[in-house]
Amino acid sequence: MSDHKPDPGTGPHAEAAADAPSCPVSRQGSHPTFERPPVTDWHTDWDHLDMRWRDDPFPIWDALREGPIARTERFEGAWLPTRYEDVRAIAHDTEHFSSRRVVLRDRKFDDPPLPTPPITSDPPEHKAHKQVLLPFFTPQEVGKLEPLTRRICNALIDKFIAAGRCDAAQQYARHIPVRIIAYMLGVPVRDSHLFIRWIHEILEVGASDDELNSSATKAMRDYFRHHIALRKEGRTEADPDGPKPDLIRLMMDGSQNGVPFEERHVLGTLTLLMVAGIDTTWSAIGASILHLATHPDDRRRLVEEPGLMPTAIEELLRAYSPVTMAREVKKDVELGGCQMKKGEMVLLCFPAANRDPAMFPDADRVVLDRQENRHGAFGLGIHRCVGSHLARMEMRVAIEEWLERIPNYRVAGDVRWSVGAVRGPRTLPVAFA
Amino acid sequence: MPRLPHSYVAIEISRKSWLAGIKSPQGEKIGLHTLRAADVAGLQDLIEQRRSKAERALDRAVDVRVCYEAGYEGFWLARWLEQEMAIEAVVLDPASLLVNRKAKQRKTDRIDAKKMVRALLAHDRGDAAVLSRVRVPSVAEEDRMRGGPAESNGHGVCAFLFLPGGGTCAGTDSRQGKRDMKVRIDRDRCEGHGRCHALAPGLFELDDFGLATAVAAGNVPPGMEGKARLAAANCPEYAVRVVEDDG
Repeated sequence: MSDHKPDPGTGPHAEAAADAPSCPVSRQGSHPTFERPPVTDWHTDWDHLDMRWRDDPFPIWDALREGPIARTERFEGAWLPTRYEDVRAIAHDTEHFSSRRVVLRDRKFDDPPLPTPPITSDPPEHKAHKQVLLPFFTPQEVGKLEPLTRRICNALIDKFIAAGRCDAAQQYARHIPVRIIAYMLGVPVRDSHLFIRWIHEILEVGASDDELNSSATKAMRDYFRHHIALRKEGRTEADPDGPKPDLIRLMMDGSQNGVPFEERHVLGTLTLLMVAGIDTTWSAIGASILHLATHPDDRRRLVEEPGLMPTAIEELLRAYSPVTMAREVKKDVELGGCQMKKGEMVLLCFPAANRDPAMFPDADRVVLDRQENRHGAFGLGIHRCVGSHLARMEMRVAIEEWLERIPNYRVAGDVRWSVGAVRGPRTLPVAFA
Repeated sequence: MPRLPHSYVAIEISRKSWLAGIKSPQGEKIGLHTLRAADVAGLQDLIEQRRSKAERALDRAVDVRVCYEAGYEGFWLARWLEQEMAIEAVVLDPASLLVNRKAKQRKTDRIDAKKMVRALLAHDRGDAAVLSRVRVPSVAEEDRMRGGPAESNGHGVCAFLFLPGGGTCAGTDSRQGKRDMKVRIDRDRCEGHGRCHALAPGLFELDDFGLATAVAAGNVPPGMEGKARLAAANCPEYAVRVVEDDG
């Protein structure tokens, strides 16, 4: 694993991040994302890229749940459902809501962005676009990656445990999913830092910087083109122990109704697999480690009752769901008294739905042994996350290995959260007791 | 917002069958319909059919209120109605309603279904004294009532949870042993979340695409009832159903 670079040593956490690789979030300070007009009224002018949403979205969602579905004229007109029932209804309504745009952009363009099947696919094509991937991501297949995941986690912990402190987001959480997905795709793990940078440029900064978004998307596609070309020459830089076929090969050989997928489709899906699998799981692992740092009773309970872990993981997923997904209104529709017009956008706020007290008693409290938990952290309906079982496994193993070796720790510095469609801690300095 | 006209539905629950009394807003008559026990799909069809008929007759949206007596079916039905059909269910304290228990034993259930509809109607018009409601607890609360999940084998969709007078729950009521439990997967709803398989691997299996099927024709072996209920209570698509029949 050679993806570590010297830390630039800038910013307030230089000490905590002493062993961290170069941190893409250090660019944020000067970026236009942070120069957005402040939200005046969340009911009529919401903006999920606002700093208050980034730092503490829960009171915002609680207030919005009390009213009609929130509206904003930003993003060229968009709606924000925050009640579980509304989110669920829209997620299931593929007749009125299209997935061709799943990320909110300040400016929409006439042409939708490059498709990344199956997340941007609508019925009826969606099914074939998703089915090619599903056998690769069943709980059984994902289970085969558990020993590798444990090795990765322990190798990461080995690097910082003697120091008695680390940045759990930068030095631990973020490296786990990126290494696993590189292994599954069949690309070298040493390229991880590239993936992390591109994803940051697409998901975080790219929400309001179209140029950077395009250049990162292009770089990623060129990267995959290169690895497809290698395979056509009978070569590969994949881990020799990796899956056969790997995901790149799987997509190269994929077809729909006997017709091979076009290059645009293959590149789109590979881009999605990389983008969707990294920031998301990084966020969920980081938020869980943070929760257990600030809730020592929960931490002790998990240490003492390891059998509770799978249930606890579901609860942490509910309480700290990282992912919001957008839809585009395909046909005019009324929902909850709101007239949604064709072409307007909807941000499906699964994290808010998962804290709806009408659905979850004690919604704002983490109840590690919650018995009834129909959370939608991985989406609801046909777009249920393909990688959900992989993410769960990575999360469980990451927390298990962390608690095994670091059962006592506390937050020791400023926690900074990501901005954009995926929410999680991007700096998380902790000290071990 | 102006109050919508209401349809009132009361379900008289027995082990073999459910009897639904329905009063639509456009008429005074209370219609009676028999369903198989725990046939929630049938109940849903019936309610939606009546609702659309009423909506066509009145040319406006019609809200539905449902009530049933706490006892045999516990609270899962109330939760199901709320979550699946967005219908608020009133769970009645059986002691509160002027129901002749002896008459009930003589299989004159029909009196109860109609009486409950009238009580619900009167209650909705402001006569609070006519019935008393039982608050629907969360599944976790039900578990606590029963001494915690460690000692119970059920997770909230259990019959016999309510005992008038607030006593401890007879979760291991001897009658339970005589009942057969089945789990069913609605394949049209399943999206492969895999929660059922993770929570009750002996009852569900996943196909190559991660979609769930019930093993052994859905028959739940004795001792696995709690896991079956847990699986149903954690399906984000409401694709897992637990059905309890007489043995």
